[in-house]
Amino acid sequence: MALRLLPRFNSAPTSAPPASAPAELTAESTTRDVAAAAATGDARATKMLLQRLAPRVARSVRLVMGTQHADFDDAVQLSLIALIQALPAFRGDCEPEHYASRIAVRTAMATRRRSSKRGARTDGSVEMERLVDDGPVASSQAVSAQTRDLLRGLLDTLPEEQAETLALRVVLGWTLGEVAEATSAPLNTVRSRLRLAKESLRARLEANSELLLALEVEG
Amino acid sequence: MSLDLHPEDLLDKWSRGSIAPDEKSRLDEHLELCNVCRFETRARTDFDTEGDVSQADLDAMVSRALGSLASDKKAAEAAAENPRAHRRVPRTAFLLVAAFALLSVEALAGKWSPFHAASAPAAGPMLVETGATEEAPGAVSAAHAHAKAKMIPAPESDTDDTAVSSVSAVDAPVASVAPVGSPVYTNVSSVTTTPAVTVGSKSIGSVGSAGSGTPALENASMIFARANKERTAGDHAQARAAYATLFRRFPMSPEGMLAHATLGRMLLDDGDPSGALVELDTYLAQGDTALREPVLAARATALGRQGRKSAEVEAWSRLLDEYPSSLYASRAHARIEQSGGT
Repeated sequence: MALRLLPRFNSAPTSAPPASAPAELTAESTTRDVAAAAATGDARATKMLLQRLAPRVARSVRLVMGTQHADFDDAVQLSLIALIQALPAFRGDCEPEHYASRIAVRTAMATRRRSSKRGARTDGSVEMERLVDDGPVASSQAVSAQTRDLLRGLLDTLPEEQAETLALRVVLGWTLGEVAEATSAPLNTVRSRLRLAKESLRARLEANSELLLALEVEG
Repeated sequence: MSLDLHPEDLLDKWSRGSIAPDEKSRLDEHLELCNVCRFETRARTDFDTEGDVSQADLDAMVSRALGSLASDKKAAEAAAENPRAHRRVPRTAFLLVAAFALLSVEALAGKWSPFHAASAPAAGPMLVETGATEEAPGAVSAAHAHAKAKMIPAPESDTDDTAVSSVSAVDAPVASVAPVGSPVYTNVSSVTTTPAVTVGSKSIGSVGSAGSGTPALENASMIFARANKERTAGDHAQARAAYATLFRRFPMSPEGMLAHATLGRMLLDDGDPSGALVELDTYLAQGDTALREPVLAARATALGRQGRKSAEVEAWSRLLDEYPSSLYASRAHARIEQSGGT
């Protein structure tokens, strides 16, 4: 069955006829086209979109939450669901891949924060990530692990917008322009959020003399 | 020089590999002085080298997300088609509830007689919970509830669909007329001026309405979604109650089966490995495979919590046998090694 595309993500769902000639949806269709069709509730397009974006979503969640966080699967699934549910509101200001990544980052951060709150009554050993890191590790690996832990811990405590900006920028490696586009924020706002986040990062670093020393040695 | 002025544009160019030599020199000078930016460059590399998720895992996650979306859509469509369907109660059921309640009250008051029963009005009175009690609604015994009930005149017209559809039992289908342990609460606010239902000093509003916290009649996916929402929000007591409702009412539904896995995982978090094992084993015994891998890992963790080392090693080995490239493989190997296994 050929799928019909609507010209805009946020146009009226299926009852409204498309303003322009509909296009066939094939494996070669752009992700933007697939997303447009999925936004109308088309089941096949939805499946195709999730299959295309799942690797990126899972990567974003993993980067924010850690390799073996106990709630990793839940967070990925929630992100995928949230992505489909948010499609009708997507204005196409950025690429669907970036839109999906942003949703994944926000979901992952929220999941981590919930896990942290739950931590008081949770046996630490449930968190697989921590258990894996129990044993002795080579010093370079140790520094890497500390770096990631420190940054993830900071994301748990920063105000949401700063945390999101820092995660997109440092954890996912986006440029300032990409962050601004995906978050629909002016470039200067992104700079400002990043500067504030880095002030908090500086304070955390200065409190961790061991890591600071390791970074200086490497530098 | 203020180190707050981080050269973000130079960092962008550096990360994209498009930085010019003079720009690189400027960046290096800054990095020598700025711990934060030095940390950032290190972090970008560190995060970039972490492994990716396997395709099989991704496929499983997509399948689960699609299943959840389809289930939500079905529930929404059902609600849109007939928003009152879940609350609609056959008139005969309403009459039975009313008659049963009347007889109970009269019997408790020592006034029962065949004559009284025979003379009960066809459209019997409705009950409103008014007695002061601290017990949860579901825990109130029928006799206790009836003893505290007060008669409210029935509406003039017994064909009023609004009145009929507002009758509901707490957390149980209305078809099971006044089951023992489930007092019948009746919402009369739409047909009389009587205040909403109260238990003790706390109003519980119009029982059976969406906002009451005790939804009248939900399907399996609605209860499952509610339970998961409570769980992820951290309200594990509410989540546990919702899962229990799901098991009682829809034990063989897909949601009912999956719920054993999610409840088991939650109990593990709550420090109840024994309870977790019961749920996780129940899930595995059903033969469902959607969550088999994490459930095997959670099961092994639960056994470890109980100090059952050999069983734990066996459980981790089972996970590795079935999922050699599991997300939990490194954890499994570590635990097996710590326990002296091979």
